[in-house]
Formats: sequence, structure tokens, C-alpha cells
Amino acid sequence: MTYRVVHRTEYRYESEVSSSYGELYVLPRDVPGQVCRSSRVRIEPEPRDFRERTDFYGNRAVYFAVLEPHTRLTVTAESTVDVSRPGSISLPADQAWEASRDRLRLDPGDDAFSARGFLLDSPKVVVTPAVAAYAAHSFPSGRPLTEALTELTARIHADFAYKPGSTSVRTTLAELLDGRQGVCQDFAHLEVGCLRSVGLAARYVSGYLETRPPPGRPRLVGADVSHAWASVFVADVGWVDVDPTNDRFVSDRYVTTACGRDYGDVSPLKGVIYTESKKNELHVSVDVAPLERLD
Amino acid sequence: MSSPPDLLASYRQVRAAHDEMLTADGRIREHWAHTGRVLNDLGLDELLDRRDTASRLLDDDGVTYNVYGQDDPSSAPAPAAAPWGLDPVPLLLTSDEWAGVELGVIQRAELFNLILTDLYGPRQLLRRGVLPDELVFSHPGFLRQCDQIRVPGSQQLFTTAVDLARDGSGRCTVLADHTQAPSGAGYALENRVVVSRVFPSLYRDSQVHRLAPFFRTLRTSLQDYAPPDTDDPRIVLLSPGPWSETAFEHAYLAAHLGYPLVEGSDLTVRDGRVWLRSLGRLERVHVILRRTDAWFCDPLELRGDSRLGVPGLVEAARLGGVSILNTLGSGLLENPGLLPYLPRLSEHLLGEQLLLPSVPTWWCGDEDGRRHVLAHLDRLVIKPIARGAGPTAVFPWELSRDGRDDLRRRIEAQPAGWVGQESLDLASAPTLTPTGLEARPTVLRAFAVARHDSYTAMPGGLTRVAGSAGTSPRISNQAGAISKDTWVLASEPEKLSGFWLAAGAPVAATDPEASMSSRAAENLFWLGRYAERAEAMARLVRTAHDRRNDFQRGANPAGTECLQVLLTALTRVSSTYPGFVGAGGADRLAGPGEELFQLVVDEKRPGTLAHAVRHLLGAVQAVRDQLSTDTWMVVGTLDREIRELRDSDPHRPMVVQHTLSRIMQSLLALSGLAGESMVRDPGWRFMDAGRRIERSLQLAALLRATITVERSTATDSLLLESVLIAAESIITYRRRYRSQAQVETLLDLLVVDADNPRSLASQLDQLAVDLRLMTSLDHGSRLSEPERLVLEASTALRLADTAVLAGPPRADGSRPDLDDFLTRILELLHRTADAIDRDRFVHLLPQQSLLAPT
Repeated sequence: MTYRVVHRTEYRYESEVSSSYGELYVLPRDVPGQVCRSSRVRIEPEPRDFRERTDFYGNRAVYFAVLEPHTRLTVTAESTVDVSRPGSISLPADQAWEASRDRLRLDPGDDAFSARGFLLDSPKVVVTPAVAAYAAHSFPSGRPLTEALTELTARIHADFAYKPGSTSVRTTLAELLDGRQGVCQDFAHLEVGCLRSVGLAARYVSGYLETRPPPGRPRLVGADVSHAWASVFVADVGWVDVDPTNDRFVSDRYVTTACGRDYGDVSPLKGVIYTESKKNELHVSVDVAPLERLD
Repeated sequence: MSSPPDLLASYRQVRAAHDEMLTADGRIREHWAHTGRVLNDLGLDELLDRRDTASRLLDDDGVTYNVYGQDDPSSAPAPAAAPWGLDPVPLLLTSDEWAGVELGVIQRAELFNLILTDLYGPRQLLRRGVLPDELVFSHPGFLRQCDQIRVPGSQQLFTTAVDLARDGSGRCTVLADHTQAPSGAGYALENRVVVSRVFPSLYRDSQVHRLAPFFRTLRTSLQDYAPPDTDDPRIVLLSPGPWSETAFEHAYLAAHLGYPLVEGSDLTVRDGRVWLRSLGRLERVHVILRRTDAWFCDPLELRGDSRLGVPGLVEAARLGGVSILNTLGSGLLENPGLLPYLPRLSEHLLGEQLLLPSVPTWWCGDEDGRRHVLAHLDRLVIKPIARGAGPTAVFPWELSRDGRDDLRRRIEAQPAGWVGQESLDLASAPTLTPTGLEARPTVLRAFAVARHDSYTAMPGGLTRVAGSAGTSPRISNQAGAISKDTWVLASEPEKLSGFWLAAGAPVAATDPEASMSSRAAENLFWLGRYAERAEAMARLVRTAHDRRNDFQRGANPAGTECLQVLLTALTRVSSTYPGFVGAGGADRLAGPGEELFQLVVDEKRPGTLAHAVRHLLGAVQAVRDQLSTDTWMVVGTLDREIRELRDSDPHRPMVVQHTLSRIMQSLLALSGLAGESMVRDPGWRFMDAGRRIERSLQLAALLRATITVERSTATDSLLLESVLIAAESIITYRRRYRSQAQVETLLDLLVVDADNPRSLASQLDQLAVDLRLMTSLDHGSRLSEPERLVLEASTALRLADTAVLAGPPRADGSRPDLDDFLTRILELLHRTADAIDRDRFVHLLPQQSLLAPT
């Protein structure tokens, strides 16, 4: 599939902002099964500084600084992305999850080295005994990885209610486990934490979902906004993405923007502004539309 | 007559540990013989006297250390500035001993440099399994944002400090490494300055290695780090501000090295470069000597809630437009979990054996390490691998059984976050106490700085001594430790090298304006204003006190009325309403003692003397790098006096009067320093402009509150006399106008006579000069807004006819012409101050973080 993705963020301030400095994670990176054909970011007012770079995890980060007074800031990212992902994983049905765990430790390759950085706790994913206990249920010894992964994802989907506004970017896993409701970001964090608790390398992925499905296909939860899911490193296969919010493996209806240890590494827009403004209004829109094939 | 006790004979090692002065069998070591003899000959009383001298010298230089609440640094936003504790007895090291330590310190710096370079570069140490990933990746000091950032040259680690202790056999062992933003070198220098003055002949005879060359190396090395696109780098010292623990040192080093002391808000990033918000323009900054912890340096990419940083600083470092030293991320090396790996790393990276052993340490992220630590919880010191919330070290033997179990659980839950370390019996050194020399545990902090392709160590360092004789393993300034100078004794007279006097072409002087931040200028302006405000307030309160003493009984109606006018004038001039004017004013006029006392001592209430002094001290703190060292003598006294006054008895006005006089003396000394010891650079112009504006405001307000109404001749003659006293012009007036006091002649002297340095005319003239010279920006013949306003005020003043202004009052006694005239002058002065504030100083709006939710 080829998509045209438009992600627009607008801030309106009640009084003048003298300058805004920002960091963006809104440009799709290339990952296996995804190629970004073209992309650009427009910022208004015109930023004095604007630079794109590749970050520690291989994501595309943008730095900008708007140094003229403004009361409105808009960031529009547009990109064209080809995706071809199966929406399932092909693993030997009998390969136990422990095998993947153990092989990662010994694998001398660069991919495995990078993946090992995702074994550890991160600021927003702290594996508490409660998280480990929740995960343990899905990982009895010897269970095939595919089965464990499928079951964990289904369980999160079933146990937690999707409820926008019930959590914030500061919600911890412990609070999530108590409250049993949240949004895609929380479920992704929980799945990442569960996978790490059993010794698997897992990362947080931010991206988008197809907004308008073709006739006959259901509209997925989390379209129209940026979405998030989890990814686990499987020996010999690589990163495998699962979406606990929609209880499925990530398919060609998904577009990946960036991967990190958790939300904090890849938040779509963060910034520092100088203003007396007490009320900042935020409007975000995302449109992921399939492109007509020109054949 | 008994002979004084022998100091050396009564000195005892208290424990089996190594002692610096005595050998194991109690004999004095050879290199201590001379010093020991001198100390003994001086005797205890003389030594204690010299210790007092040292304290006074430190006090005069304003040497302080900000102490926070023990456990939670954030709980005390305004810490207590504790005096810096210095034991005058130096720690002595022979050249040979030092040579060994120096080699070890330099080797360690080289090793840490290679580790740092690798971990923020190719990370071969992790890829090859020399270091476990987890040790690096789980440490909060590993800043992924700063990955692959390099500064020019091979030394990515600019400066480092190591805390050294001697074990029982006297061998030096490293207790901790400081690589984030090492502190202490400035205190070591100040200790040297003081001790060499307290023991001048002992210092001279001992041939002590000098510290100055180390600081010269620091300076030249910093230049070498400048980005390649400049020949004339601007270097600044970035400090978290006057409340930071070692704020004194930041200002001291900045002044010593000759670099501007800046805070985050003084800098800004644009075009991938860092700029100093200077007076009216931006000046490029090439090198930042960083004393702010990395996490706080950039609210965009690092800690979003930091108010100490510069958004975009990481990006600027990434682009190579600025060199930040130590580099952002260098704090990673403070991880004590690295210690067990250092011998192997030394072999691997340097091909050498590690010269200085570290205190035996086990990292719990390693299985064997964890097992060892958990099995020896009763005797190991437990530390988290990173500084953060909570204590920096736990001593399990001080914990209850439950406390220990809890610690064990925390280690097991998060093993990679902890180390266990053996607790060393620290070597002791003779330390002066009121009863003699006492053996106290010591730690030596040694310093190294990059130089060419290696490092140079400071000869000596900062020795710290436990606050008490006990065996407490804690030696920290926050826990009451004091310090010592450290003398490395040269075996032969030292050859002077690296002179301050340089050969070659004359160096172009730095443009003073370009090296001053707008914040510094603003603080200097307010320093001037608060100094004058305090002085005016002190004079007026003193005048009121005098009248009160004269007419306390109330038998003289004119005296009583004069006092009442002065009291209401006090309230009006200082805007301390209701005071003697508003609600309850009549009661306070009847018994003015308490309100008068409060107007002096209540530092929380704007307008009081104490409030002005407190803000004056705050402004001085913020620009201490700009002021001469003599300033501290004066400021320190001022601080003590205002505190004394607060604790004094309000019912003993004589005491208050006396202290007021002393405060006046300090304020006069301060203005004397400003007049005689400061270069007339733009900074001075700001300070002077502040003084001129404030003095004019105070005078005009006083005149308006006193002589715009005619009262009885008896009252007015007393009142005019008081006004002339408060305006410090009574002697001139009496000499010039021998007759009875008159409003007209008073106005001649206090308003229009430009030769009277206390007159409005002279103040406005001087202000006009200051305004013209405070910026070199060329406006052509156009006047700036403040200049226009001052011209308007001084023209009005020159055109004023004092005979008319002082002319016959209306039937109700009022003099509306005079009142209007003074009101207009006051308004123009206020507008001038506002215009300076608006045009010359940078005003940042409040900083906020944006975070768009998904």
C-alpha cells in the first residue's frame, strides 16, 4: 500500500509567544516493510532554525526555532509512504519464547547489540513486580513465542478499556494496572514492559493507522490521531510489531514514524516556549489516505 | 609558671589508620619536621589566633558554601550561605609522594577520556563485551541525545577530579571520580591565598609548589577547544546561579580566569550557535565552561522542567558551533559501577596497569558482585550508581533489621542500580582544635585538566577534613567537613614558568561591553539603586530618631509637629503605607517606636532599610565576578550589621542609632569603592545611573513630603534643618546662608546648585553622562529615550525660578507650584528608570514546556 500522511498540529496561545523551540518526531523512518518516498515539514511562522537529523535510535528528528513573536504555531508534516507488512509472523510454531531471549544475549550482530538496549527499564516503562506478575501469565515455560505474544496482546486488549482522557503522558504502569483503562500509548507501554519483564527486548513505536478504510474493512481504533504500539525483537526474524489497542499484528494498514524506549524518546512534538499565555489551545489532525495507483 | 603544653608531644593517632604526620611508631615524619617545629613554637594560643585570622580573611573575601537540607536539595530554595571552613594547618606531601599520585591521576584522566570517547562514539567497549551494556544503558548520566557529539582535539574529557584517601598502609586509593562538573579547584586556590598569608614565613621556607600554573593551563586549554572558525574565542562560565552549592567558586573562578559568569537565561541559540545576550546585542560564545549539571542544560532535549538551561544547546553542540566542557554526558563516568572494571579497561585501552587502585567495589548488576554485596551487607557501604533523589550512600550497619531487609529488597529488584563498597579507615592528619592538634580523617581531592594530548594535575588539591574526630566515613561539606590547604614540598626551588606576562604582539583587549551579560548590567543598575535607597533611608530614619530624642516629652509643639512631618515623610518617601499616614497612622504617630524599628529591620517589607540592604546583597551576589575583592569586606560587614540590628532590642533606640551609623559607614565605604576602585566601563555606568536616579527620586520625594506646605515659622525652621541633615547638606547650607533657614535658599542648594553633589541638578548631570557612555552603540546625534527624559527633567530644573516656587503659599499653606514641579520631576525620573529597564535589559517571558499528546 502507498499512503499519503498529513499530520497537522496547531497551538493557539492566548497571548504572544516571543519564541518557540521545538523537537519533532513526525517524519516516517524506513523500517523493514516500509519505505518513506517523500516527506516535508511546514512550520508557521517561518522558523529561523530548522534541521533534520537521525537520532540515537535511527529515527528522523527535527529541530526548529521560531524566533519571531507569534500567537499561533502550526506544524504540518506530509509524507508518502510505501508499506508492505503481512500482519502476522512466521516463526516455527514450536519455538519457545526462551529461545529468543537466550539467543539475543549471545548474538554478536549489530542488530542484536542495538536490540539489547531495549531490555532495560526506561523512564516511562518501569517493570514493577505487578507488571512482571501480569506478564508471567502469558509466558509459561516452553510456550511458543508466537502464541505467548498473541495471548499477551489479546489479554491487554480484553483487560483494559480504551478511554481517551483517562490517562496522561505522566501515567505510570502501576497506575494503569490499577485503573484498567487508557489509550494506545498506555497499552503500548504495558506490552513493552511485560515483554521486558521476561527478558525480551521490546520497544515503543509511534505512527499512524489508515484513517479511511476501503469498503468492507473496519475502521480501527486510534485513527485520526497519532497511534502507538509495541515491538519485540525476535532472533533471526528482527522486530515484530503488535498493536494491543486493536489486538492484532501490525499490517500494511500501519505507518511507523519512530521507535524508542518509550513515549519520552519519540513524542511527536515537544517544545519550550516563552510567554505569559496561561491557556494554550491544541488542535491535532491526522489523515492517512491510500494513494490512487497510477497504473 | 608552667610552660605551654607541647603540641606535638600530645598529638596522638587515634586509630590504627595511617597518619600523615606520624609514623606507625609515633615518630614525626621527616617532611613534617620543619612545619611541626614551627607549629609547636607558635603554640596553641597563637595558632588559634591565626585560625581566627584565616576565618576573617575568608569572611572578608566572602568565601561561602551554600548548605541545603540534608536529604532533599529541592526543599530549601534559599540555602544558608555557610562560611567556608578552613583549618590553617596544611597537609604536607613530599615531591616524591606527589609524583606517584600525579602519575596516577593523569593516567586515570587519560583512561576516562578513552572510555568517554568510546561510549559516546563507536561503543566498542560494549560491542566487545569489555563493559556490560547495562552498566552504561541503565545509567541516567548516559545522554542518548548527546551521542556522537565531539569537541575539538583528542581530549573529550576536559577536566576531572578524584577523591583520594590513604588506606592503612598509606597507599593512595580513589574513593570517587568527579567528571560531571568538578568543583573545588577554586576553593583550593582561595585556601592557598589565605594560608600563605596566615603563615607567611612557614610558607616561604617550605618551597611549596604553586597553584597558579595549573589555572594558566586551564585557561590556555579552554582556548584550544574553540571551534575552528574563530581566532578569538569568547569563553563563558555557565553557573546555575547564586543559590548553587558552590556559587562562590563559580564567581571566583570566572573573575580569576577573566571570563563572564553567565546563567542559562543569559544565553540563546540561533543559527546553530550560542550567543550571549549582551548589552543591546548578541555576542557569539565559542566555549562554555560548564558548572551546571548536564541534565539541566537544555530544557528542550534534556530536562523539560529545567529553568537553568538554554533551549537548543544540545543542537548547537551537535553542530560544533560551541564546545561545552565538560561535554554534556560526561557525568556517566561518575558511575561507581565502573570501578571494578577499571583495571581491565586500563589494560585494554592503555596497555598499562592501573596505577591508582579504587576502593574495592562490587557492582550488583554483575551476579558475582550482587552475591558478594548481599552476603556482606553488614560491612559494605551501599551506593546508588547515579546521584538522584535520596541519600548518596547507605551504611547498612546503621539501619534497623527492617531497614536492612528493605535495602536488600531494593537491591534485588533493581540490582544494576547499586554498588557495594568497602569502608576505608581514612588516614588522619593533624587538625587544630581549641585543645590542641587532633588526628582527623582526611580526603584529598586532586584535579586534572587537559593539556595538549594529555593532562596536567594541580600540584596538591583540596584536602577535606571530617568535622569531628570520630570515625565517620562521611566527609562532605554538606555534613560539616572543613578544608585544608595541600602543600607539595619542592625538593629544590621551583623554576617559574608560564608567566602571566606574555611575550609577542600585544593582545587586543576584549570589548568590555561584549563580555557583559544584560543580566549583569541589570544587577549592577539595581545594586546602585538599592545602595542609594538604603543610604537615604538610613539618613532619614536617623534624622527622625534625633528629632524624637530632642522632643520626646511633647512639651514643644513645634518640635512635636516637626517630628510628625518627618515620620509621615518617612512613610511617603518609602511607600510603606499605612505607616504614619494611613489607617492607624495617628496611633503610630503617638508612639512611633515600634514602626520606626520595623522600618529599619523588617526585610520582608518593601521600602524598609533591611529590605533595601537585602536586595543590595542579592544584586552583589549576582555580579560578584564583576566586583573587586575589597567589596566583600564591606558587604560582609553590612550583612552582619543588618542581622545584628534585627536581633537588637527595639526599646533601646541608642543601640539602633549606633548600628544605623555603622550601616551608613558600610554604605559609604561601598560608594567609595565604586568611586575609587572600579573601571568606568559600561557596567559601572549602569551602577552609577542607578545611584543617580535613586538619589534624585529620594530627594525629590523628601522635598515633596516636607516643604510643599508652609507651617509655623518655629516648625519650619526645625523641619528645614532636618531636611538639610537628611540630604547631607546642612554644613554647606549653614556656611553659605548664615541667616535663618528659608525654602528658597534650600531649593537653591538642594535643587539647582550643580556644584552640590547632593543636589538634583548635579545628579541629573551625572546621569546624562552615564546614559551617554553606557553604550557604544552609535545613535548618531539622536537621543535615546532615557536621555530625552533626563534632558527634559534637567531643563525644567534649570528653568525653575526658586523664588516663585518658594513664593508665598496659599491661604491653606500649600505651595501648589512647588508640588507640581516636584511631581513632574518625580514622574520624569520614574519614566527614565522604566525606559532604561525596557531599552537596555533583556526581558524573557516565562518559560513553558509544550508536549503534544498522541
